[in-house]
Amino acid sequence: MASLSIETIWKAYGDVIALRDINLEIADGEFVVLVGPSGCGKSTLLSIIAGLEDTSHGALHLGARDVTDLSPKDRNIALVFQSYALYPTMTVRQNITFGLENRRVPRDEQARAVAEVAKLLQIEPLLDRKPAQLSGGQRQRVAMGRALVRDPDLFLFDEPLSNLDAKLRVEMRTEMKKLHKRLGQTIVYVTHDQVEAMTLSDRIVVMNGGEIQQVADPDTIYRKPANLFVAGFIGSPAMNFLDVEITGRPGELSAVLPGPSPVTLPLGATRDELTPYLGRRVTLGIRPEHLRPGGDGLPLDCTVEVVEPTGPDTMLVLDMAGHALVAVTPAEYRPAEDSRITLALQIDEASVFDPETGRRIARAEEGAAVETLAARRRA
Amino acid sequence: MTVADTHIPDLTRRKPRSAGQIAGRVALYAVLLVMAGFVLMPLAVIALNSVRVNEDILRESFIGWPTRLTLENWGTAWSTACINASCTGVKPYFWASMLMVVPATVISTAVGLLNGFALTKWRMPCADVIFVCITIGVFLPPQVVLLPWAIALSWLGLAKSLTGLALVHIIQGTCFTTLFCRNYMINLPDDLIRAAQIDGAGFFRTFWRIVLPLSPPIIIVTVIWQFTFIWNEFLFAVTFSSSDFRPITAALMSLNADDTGVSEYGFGSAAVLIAAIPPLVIYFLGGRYFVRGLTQGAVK
Repeated sequence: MASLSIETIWKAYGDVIALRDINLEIADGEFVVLVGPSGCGKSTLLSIIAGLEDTSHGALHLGARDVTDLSPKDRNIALVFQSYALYPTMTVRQNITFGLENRRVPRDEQARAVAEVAKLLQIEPLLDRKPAQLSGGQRQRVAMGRALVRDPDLFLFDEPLSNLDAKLRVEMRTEMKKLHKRLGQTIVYVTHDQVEAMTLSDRIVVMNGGEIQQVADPDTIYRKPANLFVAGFIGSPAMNFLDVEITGRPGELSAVLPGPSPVTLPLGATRDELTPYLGRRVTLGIRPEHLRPGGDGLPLDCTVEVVEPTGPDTMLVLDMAGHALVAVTPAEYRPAEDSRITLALQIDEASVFDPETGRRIARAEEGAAVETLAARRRA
Repeated sequence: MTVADTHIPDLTRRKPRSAGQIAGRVALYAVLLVMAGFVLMPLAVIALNSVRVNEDILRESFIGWPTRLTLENWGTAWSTACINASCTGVKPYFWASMLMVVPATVISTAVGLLNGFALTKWRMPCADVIFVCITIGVFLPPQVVLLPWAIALSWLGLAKSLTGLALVHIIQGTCFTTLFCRNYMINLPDDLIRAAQIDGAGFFRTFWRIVLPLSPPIIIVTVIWQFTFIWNEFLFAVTFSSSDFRPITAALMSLNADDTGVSEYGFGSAAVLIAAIPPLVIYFLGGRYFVRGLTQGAVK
């Protein structure tokens, strides 16, 4: 196992810049998930870490070694592919030992390593089968076995669960987490599935347009997104965004939702960080679960447009004075469609963004805790 | 209720056909049979003549049923018929062809497979340009390259030799085999190659252990194509051969020019059929894979 340090990595394909100034320190034994929409550069970054792509600028260190210009085989990393990429003409056993064979590991040692990995992943009865004879979940295990057997310094996973059906995906997710807990490898895991990102990771790296948007633990990413992109990308259903105007006076600020019938949301005394925005517009970000059918909070009058029971929750699509809102409420709450209801807004949980820069306006107590892109950048 | 109790209805229902449809079918098959007869006619005539006595052919007609059956023509054609005043039958030419065709097929297929792999799965600079250059060879008429080859072979000291003709076929054939193999291998998943790279396999090891085991369909196609093409090839065979070494296709031409002036249709026909056997054998052995290989990747 080893730590990984990514220093000012850029990647250009001709005139197209795929990665822009990527800096990331991954600690020994850490499980880091790269997440972002397709084309955000997460897979390119993974390929660069694996050595399948060259960097256009910057350096990579794996532990104390500079691996920037090493070929994949000399990096001592393992990669689990989205397609699994099992060698179709080889048996499971041969698939697992191919890497050991290439490294001229003695036969008895190969056999011992295969037995160990097969036991760990419970694929012992499958060792003499061909990949075509395996189910999706079994192939997934073999692909992981192939990675595990070499005991590499770093594990890379490229959307490994996305070809599985929903039920199996949840099972394998839990299993991966258990495996990481047990073996403590350093893992970089690429996915576009935010649930995987939230559940598996020690830290999430949110990427967009070839840049890192935010690096933080899942809670921080969810509760204190660094910018509008992260806020909108993480969370399902997505965060509600309302453009409001800050009015009142310092210590007694209000957010006013403009429109034919303006709605005033008193912010109280806890939002001093918004004082510089007095008289200006900001974007208010409200998670759907922070609109509750009862209890404390700012009362908001809404019209129910659609009621979508999802099983564990009831999702409401609402209209509030001409603004669309989505709320996630407890399953037993079932207002009639087209009825008028009052929801309690948990304004303390809301995020506020500068609409010009898109950046989060950090609350006083958050201070430097929020890792913004700017903060990650090095001189 | 168990399965055995379940009543199974009559399952023999067919879509009903109208009289018009049936008539259409009959007409279609009639046309197809006539066309098939037309195509098979020359083969049938040659096959029949190969078991007829030559005098019967000359007396009756070139096209006709055998009145007396004989297998003598086959023996004569194989071992005693005279070609350019040497009465050895087609046997030595048959083996000369074999000696040239087998290595030329094997080597051109091997080179094509390596080319295909390098052009599609290995990061090779200008792979597309190189591929286009190689495939131009496929579209060059053989007459165009005849003279350059003659000059090149005499430079190499290989003029009118088995090695020389084999070399011509290896290099000409590589254009075809590269085209086939490249188009097959481009559909192999890139992830397999990347996985092998990460597993520490180099170029040849990846080729040998990962790519080659996935290539039997295209290997069979290429071998059939190359074997048939080189075996049947006539222009190069005539041009680049001499009395020391002559492939069977070139030798057949001289078979009928007998000094007595009597046309020997009987063993001539047998000789033609002997010359046609090897490609047919190859095709029957691998034909199933040939069709499958040509359509590979069409449906997936």
